[in-house]
This record gives sequence, C-alpha cells and structure tokens, in this order.
Amino acid sequence: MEFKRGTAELAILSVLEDGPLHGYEIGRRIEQRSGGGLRFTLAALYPLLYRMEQRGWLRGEWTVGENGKQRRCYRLLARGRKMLKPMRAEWAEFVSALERLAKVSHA
Amino acid sequence: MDEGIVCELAGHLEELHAALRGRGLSEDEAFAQACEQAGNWEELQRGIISAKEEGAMRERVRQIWIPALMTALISYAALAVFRWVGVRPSVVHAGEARALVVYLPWLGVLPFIGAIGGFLSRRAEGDRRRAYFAAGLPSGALAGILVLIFALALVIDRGVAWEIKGTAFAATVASWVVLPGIALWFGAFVEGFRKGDRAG
Repeated sequence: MEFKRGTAELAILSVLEDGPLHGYEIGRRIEQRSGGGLRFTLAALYPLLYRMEQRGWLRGEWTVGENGKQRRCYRLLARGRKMLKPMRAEWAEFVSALERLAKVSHA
Repeated sequence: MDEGIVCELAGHLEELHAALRGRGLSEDEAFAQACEQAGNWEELQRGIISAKEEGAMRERVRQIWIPALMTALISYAALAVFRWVGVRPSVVHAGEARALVVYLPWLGVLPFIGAIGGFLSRRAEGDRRRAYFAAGLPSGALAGILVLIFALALVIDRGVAWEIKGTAFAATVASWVVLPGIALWFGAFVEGFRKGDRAG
C-alpha cells in the first residue's frame, strides 16, 4: 500500500516513540505493526528520515550494534514528540470523516 | 554522496539481505529481492539531495537571515526612538562635504543589539562566522545601498566634482556603515567570547 501524504511521517514518529531505532528496523517495525500493509523502500524512507532530522523532529546518531557494526540510530526529539499528538488527531478526524462520507467501514 | 549516507544505506541493505537469507532464500534470490525493495536509485539520490538542500536552506534562514533581520529591525527601531525623543546627532566637520554624523547614544546601544543578533544565530547552532555575518548584515546591506546611491550620483549629478562626491560618500559610509558595523560586531564578539569563542 502506498503512503498517503503525511502518513509516512506519522508512521515513523509512532515507531520511534518506543525508543531509538536504525533505518532498517524503522521500516521493519512499520511493516510489522501495519500487518504488512505499509512498506517503505529505501528511496522513500531515507530522504524522509533526513528531512525529519533537518526539521528537528529526530536525531540520528552513530552507535555500535551487537554485531560490532556501526549503525545510525534515530531518536525522537521533543519537537517530533510534540508533532505526534496533532498528527494523530488530524488523521483520526480524517479517517472518521471518510468513514461517514463513504461508509468505508461498512464496505 | 556523503560517506555516512553510503554506509547507512549499505548497512540497511546488508540487514535486509541477511533477513531474506534467514527466511530461506538463496543468495541470488535474496540479492534480487533486496535490490527490488530498495526502490529506484535515482529517486533515492534525488530525494536525499532535496532533503539535504531543504535542510541547508532552513539552517541559513535560522542561523543568518532571521538573526540579521532582527538585528536590523532593532537597530533602526532604536535609532528611530532616539530621534523621536529628540537626540541630536554629533556632527564632526572635516572640511567641505566631509562631516561625520554620529548618534552617540545609538552607537552605545548597538553592541547590545549585535550581541542579540549573535546570540540568536548561535542559539540556532550557527558557527562564529554565521553569527558575525548575521550581526553585521544590517551595516553590510546599508553599504550596498550607499554604493548604489553613489553610483547613481556619479551618473546623474555630473555638475558636482568627483572629489566632493567621493569624500561625502566616504564620510557617509564611515558614519552609517563602518562605525555601526564595528559596534555591532563588537557586541557579537563579546557575546561569542562569553559563549566560548576562545576554544574555536
């Protein structure tokens, strides 16, 4: 399924809410938690991560993983956490409006 | 492309490849599927460049343009207030068409205003060069305007001798660009020094 405008940011912020993750793990968690419905390609994930980092929503830091390899882990910053609540509210409202309009839930 | 980005993407592909192998795919199948899941490489490159450019532009706005605009607004607002309350400029004559017009109380507050500009730039993680640039930009902008006026005067006002125009221009630049610029930079310098410019 393709990401709709604004949903990709919400998905990333949501999975990072539980703790810092590296890029691959972010993609994997999103896929897992969406039941395989949402999947990122590299071309979609990394530009977005860098953009969100530039906006001060996340911070990427190099860490050494269990296998001794260096990985860049992304941590949610206060500004990103602050964005989550209105984004969730906006999407809940949007989905609810769509349900009322198109009776999506009964389709 | 940045070496860090290449390492990060390579790490992602390695993990993806290992996960696919773990699911029982052969080496070739895992490689092909990892490449497929990577998506379009050109799109990836364009996306990363665009994200980095957006970031660089955002940084310039936060570290240079907003502090510079604030410095300019506060500087000229302070000058307007001094004039409004009736402060008279000190005029130092140095011959015909050579007079330095200086608002001493204004020059006195400019270091504080320069410090504000420097502080705003540094607070946005601007380096020393950007902090000085932001603090001094109001003077630099005025210098640009004066150069334009002088160039126009050279063309339009042919009746006045070049030497007179030149000395008047020099006096104006000294009064409104050099002295205020030094005052603003001094403020940014002291503010930066307080923040640890000694280290770098």
